[in-house]
Amino acid sequence: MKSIRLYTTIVIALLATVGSKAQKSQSDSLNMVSGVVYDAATGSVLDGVSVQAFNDPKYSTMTADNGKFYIRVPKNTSMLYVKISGYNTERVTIKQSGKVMTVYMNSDKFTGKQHSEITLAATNGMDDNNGAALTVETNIENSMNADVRTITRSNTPAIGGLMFIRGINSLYSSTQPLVILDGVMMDIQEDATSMHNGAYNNILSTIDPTDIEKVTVIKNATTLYGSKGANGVILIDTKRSKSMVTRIDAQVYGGMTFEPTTLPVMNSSQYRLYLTDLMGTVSNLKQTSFHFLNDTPYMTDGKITNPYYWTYHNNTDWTDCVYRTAYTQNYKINVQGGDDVAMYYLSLGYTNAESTIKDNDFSRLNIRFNTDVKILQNLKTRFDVSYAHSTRDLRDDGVSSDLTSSPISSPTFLSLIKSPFLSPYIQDANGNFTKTLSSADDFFSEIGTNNSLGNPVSILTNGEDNNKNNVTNNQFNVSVRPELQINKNLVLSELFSYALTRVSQRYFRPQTGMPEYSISETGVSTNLAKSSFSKETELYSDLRLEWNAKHDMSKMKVFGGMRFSSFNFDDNSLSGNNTGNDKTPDISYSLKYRSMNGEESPTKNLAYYLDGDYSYADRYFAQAALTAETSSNFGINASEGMKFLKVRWALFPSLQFGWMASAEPWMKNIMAIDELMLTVGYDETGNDRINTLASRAYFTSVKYLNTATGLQLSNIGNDAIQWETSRRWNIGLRSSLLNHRLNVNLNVYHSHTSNLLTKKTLDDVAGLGSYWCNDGALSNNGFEAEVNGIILNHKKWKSEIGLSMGHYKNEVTKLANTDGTLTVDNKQVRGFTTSVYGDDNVATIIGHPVGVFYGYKTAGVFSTDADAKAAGKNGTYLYQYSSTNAIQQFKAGDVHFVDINGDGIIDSKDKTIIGNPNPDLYGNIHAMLSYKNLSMNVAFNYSLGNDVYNYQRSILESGSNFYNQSTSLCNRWQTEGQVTDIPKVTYNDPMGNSRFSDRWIEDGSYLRLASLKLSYTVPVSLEWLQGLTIWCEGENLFTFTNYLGRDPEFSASNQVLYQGIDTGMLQKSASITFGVKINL
Amino acid sequence: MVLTLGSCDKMMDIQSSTVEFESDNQLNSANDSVYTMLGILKSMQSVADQTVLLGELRGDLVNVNANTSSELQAVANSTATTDNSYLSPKGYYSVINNCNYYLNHIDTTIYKGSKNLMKREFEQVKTLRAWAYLQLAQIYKSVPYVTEPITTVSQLNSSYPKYSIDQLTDLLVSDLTSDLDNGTCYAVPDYGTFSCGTPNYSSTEKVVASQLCFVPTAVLIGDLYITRGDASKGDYENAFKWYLEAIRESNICVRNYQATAYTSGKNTGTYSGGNWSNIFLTSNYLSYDEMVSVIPMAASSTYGTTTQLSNLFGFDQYATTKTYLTDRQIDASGQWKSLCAGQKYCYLLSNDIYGYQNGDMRQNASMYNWNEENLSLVNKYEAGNIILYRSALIYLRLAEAANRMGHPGIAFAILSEGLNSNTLQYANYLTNEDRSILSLFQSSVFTNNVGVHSRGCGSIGGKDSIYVYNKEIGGRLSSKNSYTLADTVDVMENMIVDELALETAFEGHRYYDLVRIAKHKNSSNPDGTSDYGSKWLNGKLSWKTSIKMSNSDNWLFTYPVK
Repeated sequence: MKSIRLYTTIVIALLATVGSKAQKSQSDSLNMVSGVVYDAATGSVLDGVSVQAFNDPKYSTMTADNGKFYIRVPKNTSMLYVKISGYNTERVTIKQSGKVMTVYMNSDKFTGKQHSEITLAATNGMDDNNGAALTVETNIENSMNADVRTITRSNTPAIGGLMFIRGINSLYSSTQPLVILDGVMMDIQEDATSMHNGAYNNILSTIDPTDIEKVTVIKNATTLYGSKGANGVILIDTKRSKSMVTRIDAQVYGGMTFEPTTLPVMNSSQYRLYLTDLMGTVSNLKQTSFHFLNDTPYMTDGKITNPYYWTYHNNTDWTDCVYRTAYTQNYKINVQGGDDVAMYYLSLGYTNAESTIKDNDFSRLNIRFNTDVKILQNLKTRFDVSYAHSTRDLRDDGVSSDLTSSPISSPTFLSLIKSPFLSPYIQDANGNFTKTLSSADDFFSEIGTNNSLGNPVSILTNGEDNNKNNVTNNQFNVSVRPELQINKNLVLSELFSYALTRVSQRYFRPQTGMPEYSISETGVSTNLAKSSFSKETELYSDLRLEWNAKHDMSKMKVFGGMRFSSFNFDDNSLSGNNTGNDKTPDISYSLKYRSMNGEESPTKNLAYYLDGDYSYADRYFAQAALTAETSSNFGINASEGMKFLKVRWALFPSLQFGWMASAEPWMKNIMAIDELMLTVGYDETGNDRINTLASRAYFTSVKYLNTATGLQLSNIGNDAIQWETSRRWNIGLRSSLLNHRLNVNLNVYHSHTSNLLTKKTLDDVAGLGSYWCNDGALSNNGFEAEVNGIILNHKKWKSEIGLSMGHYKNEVTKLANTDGTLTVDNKQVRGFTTSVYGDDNVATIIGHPVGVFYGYKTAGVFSTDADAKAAGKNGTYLYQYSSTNAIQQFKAGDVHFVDINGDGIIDSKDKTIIGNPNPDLYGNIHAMLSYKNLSMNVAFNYSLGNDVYNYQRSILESGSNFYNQSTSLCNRWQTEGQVTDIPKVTYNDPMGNSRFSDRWIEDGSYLRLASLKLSYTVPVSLEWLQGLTIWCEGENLFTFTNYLGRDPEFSASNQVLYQGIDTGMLQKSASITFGVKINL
Repeated sequence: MVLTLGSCDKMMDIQSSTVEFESDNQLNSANDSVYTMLGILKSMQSVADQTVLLGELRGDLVNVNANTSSELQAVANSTATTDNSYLSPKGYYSVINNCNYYLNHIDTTIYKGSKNLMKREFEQVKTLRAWAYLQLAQIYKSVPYVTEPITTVSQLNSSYPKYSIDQLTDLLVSDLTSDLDNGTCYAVPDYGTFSCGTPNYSSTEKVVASQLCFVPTAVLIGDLYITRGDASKGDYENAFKWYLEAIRESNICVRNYQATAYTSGKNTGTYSGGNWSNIFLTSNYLSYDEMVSVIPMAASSTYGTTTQLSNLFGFDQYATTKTYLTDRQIDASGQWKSLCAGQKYCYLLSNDIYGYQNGDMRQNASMYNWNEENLSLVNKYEAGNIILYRSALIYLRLAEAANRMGHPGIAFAILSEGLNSNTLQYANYLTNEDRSILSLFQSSVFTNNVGVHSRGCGSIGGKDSIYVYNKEIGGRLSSKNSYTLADTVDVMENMIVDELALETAFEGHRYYDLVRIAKHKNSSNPDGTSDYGSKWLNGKLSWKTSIKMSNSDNWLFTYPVK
C-alpha cells in the first residue's frame, strides 16, 4: 500500500508539472532543416519521400526530384520521420543544424521498419506474413521465438502452440499471454479440455493468418491490462482498408506434408523372440489357450493348413496403415476500398488441411468484415463483424498417461505397439487379404483380457463420421468502436464487443476391431461415445477519454477509462458405453455406464485505468500508469489491494523511463549511430485466472446410489483469494546503426511473482481435500537480444541476416506446502512432487525451476551377478521393498539404480533432479536473399539446453508387457556377462527397471529449418492485374538434434508441470506449399 | 460510471447453474433438507470401507497375505502412521460438517405442519453426526469436536477442543436426548426405496429401503454408553436401557436364520446351507428383519460410490459373471477358524436323539470354497453392502451390557435360547430380577427370538443340549475352586466375545469390540490387577502385531496433526 501511495503522488506531481508548463505557452520558434534522401542500395536520390517532424506530423514536406527537402520544424524537434512506399519507414536524428542531412532508405524487403511512436515497453512486432501457416502461432514462432517462446503442440493442422513470454510466471494458473484481438481481450480457453488424447482445441486457429495486419508482443509495462497482464500481451490487429482505391487480393495455395518417419519397432521375427523371452517370466502361465503357440507353434512356421496360420504369420508395418502424405488447399479473397464516408475490408477464406495421420482433417471457413465509418465531422466509428467455422476429424493421438483404465485407442500409438505378426485385414485360406478388418488380438488374453490391443485401422475406418470423432468450432464476433473528437486535444471513445465461441466435440471408440474392456469397478465396455458442447459468451466494453497536448519542448498524452468484461464459459458433456454397433454412435438413455458433467465458470472484471505519457524534446520519455481492477474471482478479504464499495480492488502501478541518447546534442556527431535509446521500467501486473468459485462455499449436486440426488458441501470458500502479483524490472537498449543497416536490441529483466495460486490441503476437520489460496513465489530473470544486419544491399541483390535469442532462469523462491521435503543428492530440500506421466516424477523445489524431472539416476545394467552383488552395501545386492513389503534384489540384467544415500536400499530417498525442461537459449535465425523480383526467406528456430522426458520411449523400451517394442530391445540383457544398457525383460517389471529415471531423460536441444520461402513477383502491369506473386514454401525441412524421439518439439498440455514430456504426439515432417497471389 | 461504482458488489456477483452457493442452500424448505440429507448419506458411503477396515483388520479374525498393500498391512499390524490414507479422519468430518450445516441452518419453523417428518430427519442428522464421532473416538485417542459448520477457510484458524470417548459420550448423548418425543426416540425417516443399480453379473436390480440407511438413535446411545463403559456412571445400565429401547421401538428380533448341517446321510454334521448366509448374500434389503442399519453401495461405479471390500476379500463385484480373485488381500485368520472348529454343532438324529459334530456352521456359511484354487474366501461382501447394525449384534451388545450390570444369566439367555416368553418361563439360570428386567420379551412379538449361538450350532436349546449355563460357565472356571459373580461375568464376557466372532466376524466391529471389552475388564479386575484387560487384549493380538497391547496407550491411534 505504501508503494502505491508514493506512486500515486509521483503520477500527480508529474501531471501537475506538465500542466503548469502548458500554462506559460509561447509560440514555437521554428528551425530550418534540409537534407537529401538516397536509396541506400543504389545511391540514387529519391523523390516524393514524405518527411515530417517526428513529434508533430503537422510539419511535413516531400523531397523534390533531386531528393532534397527543406522543412521547418519546431525547435525541440530532434528527429524526422521519413517514409515512402517500397522502403522501410525511418526515424532520423537531426544532426547539427545548418548542415545538409543525408538520409539513406532501405528497401522494405529488409526488416527494421521504425514506427512513428516510441514505446517504452519491451515490445516486438511482426507484420502480416503470408505463407503456408494455418494459425498465427506458427508465424510468431518463426519470427519472434526469442520474445515469445512458442512450442508447437504437434503437427496436427492448426493445433497451434504454447506461448511463454519471459519464463514461467505461474505454477497452477495460466502461463499463457493475454491475447487482444483488435483491442478486445480474448479468452483462448487454454484450460479447456479436449476429449481426444493429444488434441487441443485451438481458439486462435479461428483467426485466418491472412487477415492479420500485425502482431505486437508486449513483454513488460502491461499494467494497463491489470490482472490479466502478468504473462505478457499479444496484440493481434486485423487488416483494415487504408486506401479508397478498390483493391482485390486473391490467393490460392496448396501443398503436401510428407509422411513422417516413426520410431523403429521390432519386426515379426524380433518380436517373436521378445515374446518368448517375456512369457518365460509370467508366473503360473497356462499355455493351453495360446493360439499362436499351440495351433501353430510360433517358433516354427507350422502347417499352412492350420486355420490360424495366416493370422499369425505376417510382417506388418502398422505405421503404414496409419500415416500418410497429406495435402492442403487454401483459397483466400479479400476486397478493400471505400470512400470518404466509409472504408471497408471484406475477406473470405477457406482452408482444408489433411493431417499426416489418416482421417484427421482440418477445415476452416472464415469471413471478416471490418469497416470504418465517418458519421459526422468529429464522430467516426469502427464496426467489425467476423465469423469463423472450423471442423476437424480427430482420433486419440500419442500415448495417454494411463494405459490401464481404458483400451488403447490411439491409432498412432497402436501402430507402434501392435504385434507385427498380425495384419489389419483377415486373410482367406490361401493367404489372400480380404476386405474384412481383423478383430482385436487375443493371443495373450489368457494373461488378462484387458491386454488385448485393437486394430488401429478399424479406429480410423469405423470412427470416421461427423457424429463420431469430430470437433466443430464456431466463433462469431461483432464489435463497434465509436470515437468522438471533442476538441483538438480530447477524444472520447467506446469499444464494445460481443463474442460467442461454441465448441462441440464428438468422440467415438468403435467396437469393430477393438477389444472389450472391463472398466474398474464398473463393467465391460464394448464401445464408447462421448459428446461435449461448450459455449462462451464475452461482453466487453472499454470507455476511454484521451487527452493530447503539446507545448514547447513537451508532449504529453493522458488517457483513462473504464473497462468491463464478462466471460461466461459453460461446458456440458455426456458419455456412454455399448451403443450396440458402430452405426449408431449417438448417446441415448439405453447406453451403459453413462456419465454427465456440467461446468459453468462465469467471471466479471471491472477496471479503471489511467495512463500518462510524457516526452521532452524527443529525448526524455516517461510513462506512468495505474490500473484499479476488481473481479468476481477476488475474495473480499484478500491481503493486497484495497477494499472499496464492498469489493476488493487490485492496484497495478507502472513507471517507465526512456532516454533517446542519440538525440542528445553531444551524440549527434557519431555518424555510425542512427538511434540509441535506453529504457528502464518497473511495473506490477496480475494473473486473475483463479478458479471462479474458489472464494465461495458451495454445494454440488451428487448422485446418491442410482437415482437419488443429494447436495453435498463441496467447497469451502477462501475469501482471501486474490490475483497472482508479478513485479517486473526491465532495462532495455535499442539501437539502429550504420545508416540503419544494423539493428541491435537488448532487454534484461528481473521479475518476481508472489501470491502464486496454489492448492493447499485443508485441515481434516473441514472434511474436504483442498482449497485454492495464494502462497509461494517464483522469479524469472533473463534477457532477449536481437541483431539484424543488412549484408548486401545492391540494386539487384539484397541480403539480410538476423539472430534473436531469449533466455530465462526460473526459480521457485517460496512454496505453500513448506512442510514437504524431498531429497536432492541426499540433501533435504523443501518441495513437492506431482505425478505427470509417471509417479511423483515432476518436482517443484525451492531454489530450482518449476517442474524439474525428479527420479532415479542409473549406472547401466548389471552385466554379471558379481557386478550386481558388488553394487549393494556390504557386498549384497541392492534391494527394494515391493508394494506388499517383500524384499526384491537387483540382480544381473536389472538396471543399476544409483544408491545415492548409500543405504543399500533403492527407494525414494535416492531420487534426485535428473532434468530440467526449461531451455537455456531459444530464438530464431533468419536470413533473406533477393535477386530482383525473386526472394528467398529462411527462418530457423532453435531451443538449446532443454531436457525432455521421453515418455513414449519409456513405454516402447519398458520390456514389461506384450506391446511391440523399439528395436533397441533386441539388445536386451539375456545372458550372464552380456554388456548392454537395455535390461532384461520381465513381465510387469517387478523391479521397476522401466521406472522414471534418467534412462528416459534426453537433451531436447534442436535447430530447425522451420521455413524456407521463395517468392517471385511477376512484373506485370495490366489494367486488370496489378500484381502477381508466385511463391513456394518448405516447412520443417530439417532439424538438427540428438533427440532419440522423432521430434523434440511438442506440448502435452498447457499446464506448467507438463512441460518437456514427449507423449508421442504427431511429429513434424517436411511440407511444401505452392501459392499464387493476385492483386486486381 | 458513478452508477456502476455504487453497486460493485452486485455487479461483480456471479451466478452458476452447476453449483449451489451457500447463500442459496438455506434449508428453509423440506426439499432442501432432503437433498442435504442425501448428501450426508453420500458422505457416509465414502467412509464405509475405511470404517470396516479399521475395525476389522487390527482384530484377531483376519489376516493379511502376500498380496496385501503395505498400507493395509500397516493398519493390520497397528503400525500405520499418519500418512496412511486409511487413517485420515477427513471422511468422518465430511459427514460431520455436512450434518453441522444441516443442524445449524434447518429452519425449525417448518416443523409445523409436518412435525413428525422434519423432527425425524433432524434427529437422524444428529444421530449420524454422533455415529461419525463414535467412529473417530474408536480410532483416535481424542478428536476435535466441531459443531459449527465450516464454510470458510478462515474458520479453520480457530482451535477446536479435543475430546476422547469419555467426554464425547456425555456431549453426544445429551444432544441426542435433548429433544425426544416423550422420552422415546423418533423413528428414522422414510424416503421410499433407493435403487443401487444392477450388478454387471446379474439382471436383478439391487434395491434398499431408505429406512435401513439410517441409524436408530437408541442404538447409537447404547453404543456410546457401552463404549465408554464407566460403571461408576451407570454406563452399563444406560446402555442396556437404550438397547432395550431400540429393540422395543423397532421390534428387533433374532430370528431363526441358521447355518445348518446335514442331519442324515454320509455328510452328516457337515455344512449343508441354511438361510443364515442370506443375511449377507441377499442384495435386496427392503424389509429384511435382520437388518437394522446398512450403508448400501452402488452396484458399479456407474451408479454411484462403490465398495472395495468385496475385492479385498476376493470377490470381483464388478465382473460380468461372478468371479473370485486369487489376489485377495484379506483372509480369515487361523484364530477364527479354530474358534469355529472348537464349537459343537448339535442336530436331531431322530426322535429326541441328538448328534454332535465339531464346528460352527457359520464358518462355512461365511466363506466361499473355491475348490479350483483350493481357497476359502470370505463372502460377506458379495452383495456389496456394509452392515452397520443387525439384530444379532444389537442383542449381543444387550448381552454385554446385561452381563456387566451383573446379570450373566440374561447374557446367556441371549446366546443360548433367545429372549422369548418361553425362555423367561423355563430358563433356570435366570433370576427373578432378570425376569423382571426382561418383561418386554413376554410379548408375543418376540416369540420367535432364538439364541444367537444356535444360528451356527444347531439345536443347542434342546433338551440334551450341551450348551448349558452351568457347564459352559463352570467349564471355563474349572481351574478355580470357587468363583464369584465377577468371575462369572468375566467368563460370560469371553463367551460373548467368542459369539461376536462367530456371528459378526469380518463386519468391521472386531477390534473395537476387543478394545471395549479390554477396557471393561481393566475396570473390574477379577484377578486383582488393574491391567487384566490389557493383558487379555495383548494375548488376543500378540500373534499378529509387535505393538504391545498390554499398554493401553497403544490401543488407539493419535489423532493426526498436520
